[in-house]
Amino acid sequence: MSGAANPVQPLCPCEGEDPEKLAQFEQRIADGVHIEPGDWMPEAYRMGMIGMAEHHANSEIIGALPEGEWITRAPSLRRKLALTAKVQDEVGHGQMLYRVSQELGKSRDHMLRDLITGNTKYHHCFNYPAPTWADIAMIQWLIDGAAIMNQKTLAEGAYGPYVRTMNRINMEEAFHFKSGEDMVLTLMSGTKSQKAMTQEAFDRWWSITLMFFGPHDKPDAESRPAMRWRMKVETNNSLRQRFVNRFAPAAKDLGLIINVCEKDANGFVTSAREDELCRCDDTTGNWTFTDPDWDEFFRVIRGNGPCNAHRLSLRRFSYEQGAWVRNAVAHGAVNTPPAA
Amino acid sequence: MTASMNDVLALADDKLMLGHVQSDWTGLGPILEEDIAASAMAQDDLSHALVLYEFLATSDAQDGADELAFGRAVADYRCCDLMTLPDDFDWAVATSRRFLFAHFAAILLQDLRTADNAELAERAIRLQGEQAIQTTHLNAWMVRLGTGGDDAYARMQSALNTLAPHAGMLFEDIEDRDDRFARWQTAIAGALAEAGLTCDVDFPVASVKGGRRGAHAAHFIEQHAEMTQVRAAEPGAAW
Amino acid sequence: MSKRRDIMYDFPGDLPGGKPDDAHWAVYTRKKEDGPARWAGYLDAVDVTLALQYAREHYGQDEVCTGILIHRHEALADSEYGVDPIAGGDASGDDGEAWTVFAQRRRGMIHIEAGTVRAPDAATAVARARSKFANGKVSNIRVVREADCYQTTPDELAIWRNHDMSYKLARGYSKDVRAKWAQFRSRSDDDRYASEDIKDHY
Repeated sequence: MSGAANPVQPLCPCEGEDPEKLAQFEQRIADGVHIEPGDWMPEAYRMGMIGMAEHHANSEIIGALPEGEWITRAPSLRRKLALTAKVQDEVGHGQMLYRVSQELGKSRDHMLRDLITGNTKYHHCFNYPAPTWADIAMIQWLIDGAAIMNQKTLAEGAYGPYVRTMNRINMEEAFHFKSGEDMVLTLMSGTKSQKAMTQEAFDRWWSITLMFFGPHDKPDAESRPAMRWRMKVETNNSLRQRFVNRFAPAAKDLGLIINVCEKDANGFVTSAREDELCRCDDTTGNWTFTDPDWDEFFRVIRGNGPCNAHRLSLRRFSYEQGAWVRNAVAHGAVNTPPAA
Repeated sequence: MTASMNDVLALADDKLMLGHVQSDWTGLGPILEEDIAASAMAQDDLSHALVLYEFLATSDAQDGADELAFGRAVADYRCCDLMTLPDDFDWAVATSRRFLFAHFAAILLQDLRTADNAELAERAIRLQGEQAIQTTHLNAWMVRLGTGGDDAYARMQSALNTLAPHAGMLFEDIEDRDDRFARWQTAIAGALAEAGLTCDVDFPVASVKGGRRGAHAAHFIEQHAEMTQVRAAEPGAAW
Repeated sequence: MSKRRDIMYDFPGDLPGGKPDDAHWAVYTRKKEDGPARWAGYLDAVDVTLALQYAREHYGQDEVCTGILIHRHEALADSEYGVDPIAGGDASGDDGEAWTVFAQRRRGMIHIEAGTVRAPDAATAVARARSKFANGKVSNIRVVREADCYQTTPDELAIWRNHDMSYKLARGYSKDVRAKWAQFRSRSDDDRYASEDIKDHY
């Protein structure tokens, strides 16, 4: 559902690598040729792709949790089915993304354990609470909307196995977003109290989504390994601008107010004022907007967000509860094919 | 066969509540691939409930289905409270409960295939194929877990011991109870024997009122409240 | 939230012991009954029975799917991944067992079933397969013994469900969404906004 906004950036990427092989590898990428398993690749690329796919997979697995909380309370059978299917898709995306890293040499169990212990990270946005049904609508409209924009660019990357996985994920993502739009549209056409609930949810998720694409790029982003090796294809700022250009006018058309908000430690809004900057600059065609609070972003990814502890606690609970099942299945493996 | 609408409602309510409880596992299953498969089957149960509610609804199909699913008084639900017995995210309890119910549902759907009401019969035939996916999958899982070592065996037997006293109530107040109970015992016997597990279920005593006659356990009332809370907050609103 | 998820679990000790991955299986799906098997993804499973069930539930539900083919990842043998189309060759012969051939048209694309060859061993199978199927149009040839490929059979359980699946397909929402947006904005505004949507599929 999400996308790696902060792929691993190797510090001294290619010390000790064969310069001729490295040059050929980089030329291949510059020529728009995909890298396939078995190709020679610098160790920094291999580690970078493992980390990137792993971060993306972790984000899917954790992303399943805030939305999963609402399956039991979905207000119609169709919404209940759709939300269950969406969360199910996220598990599937996690499984497919872990595969990319497995193929490069890290076991799935190792990755699940690293996620639980905090050795590896996941997208910051899933550390926030979803206190109302409207938050589910906002997550599927804003966060999935942002994820699709990001993932469409990731599908233009160089690494074959990851690109093929992006294509498969993007196929399913279309329904997530449409379902999210449908929910937001329904709520904003609804009762006064539904509209108020939706505005409050929007206040919670707008700035989180602005931060979804990652911090401001370093000035030399395009020459750093992540973009030079086409692990990512568009800068954070460019994606963020495209997101605002699309969603700010849409939000306003729905009757939502785009606010700059202060939040407490639990992720709840304590004050909101309309973002005076949020308007379209007619000369550039781009929307200007108030920069989100990057201190909050770094606090949250370092573990001090509202829900970090609960997310990992639930992941660990699932892992511990399930250990006996994994052992039992391995114990009783049946090697004969099914009767044809 | 003249199908009892009470039986249809019982089956729909069972599937709604099992689907509700089971869909809550999505994202927390013990193996990623099995999480996906189990969620697919939870969606099937919810979808089957929807198909049956649409059949039963007298007004507009989809709204009527939602009204039946979310809008009745607690005492008007005909589900067996086995469905909402808390599993505390114990895979042994969850799997065993799904196994016991899947075979019950398969028998009811088999009988509804020959209902006099052609529309009902057609729906039953459609659902029966998907029900078979569940019974096959769950038979295999009971065996895998029952024969998966001492620890797994102990957990599975303990789960069945917890569920057995409640399972008989699947047959409370439905048509052809004796016959269906016997068929169900036969249906579950194979997988249980292969798994080395036992599940001794008594035929329900007619005088003991349970979920199907509206005398629901506290855990059903709690689950029902959770399930309906958002919808109930804004009656009549579209979601 | 779901009440039983609303608990903070406390784990004072270390994580229980880990385990190596289960077997890796490549999964291909057929959109049409007589169509080729097309690579869909991978999954881990201890044995083929579970692998086929998982393949169906994960990869067989995204779209109408009439058949599934799987093989252990280790069961495949392949040619190099050419940057340019790979050379064909003239290896011929009919001895040995049957191998299923999959071809990748260009780097970055999926593998699609191309046909079969017979060969006594993997290297010969690859050589004969490239001779038969490369035709200057393929970047990689992959072979798997037919005996190592497992498939759902036509009279097996339904893969694609019978009930309404539109709740999990984009096309289940598109029309409604379009109509609802019309109440809020003009058509041209909506066209501009929707130009970013993923259009193909669903």
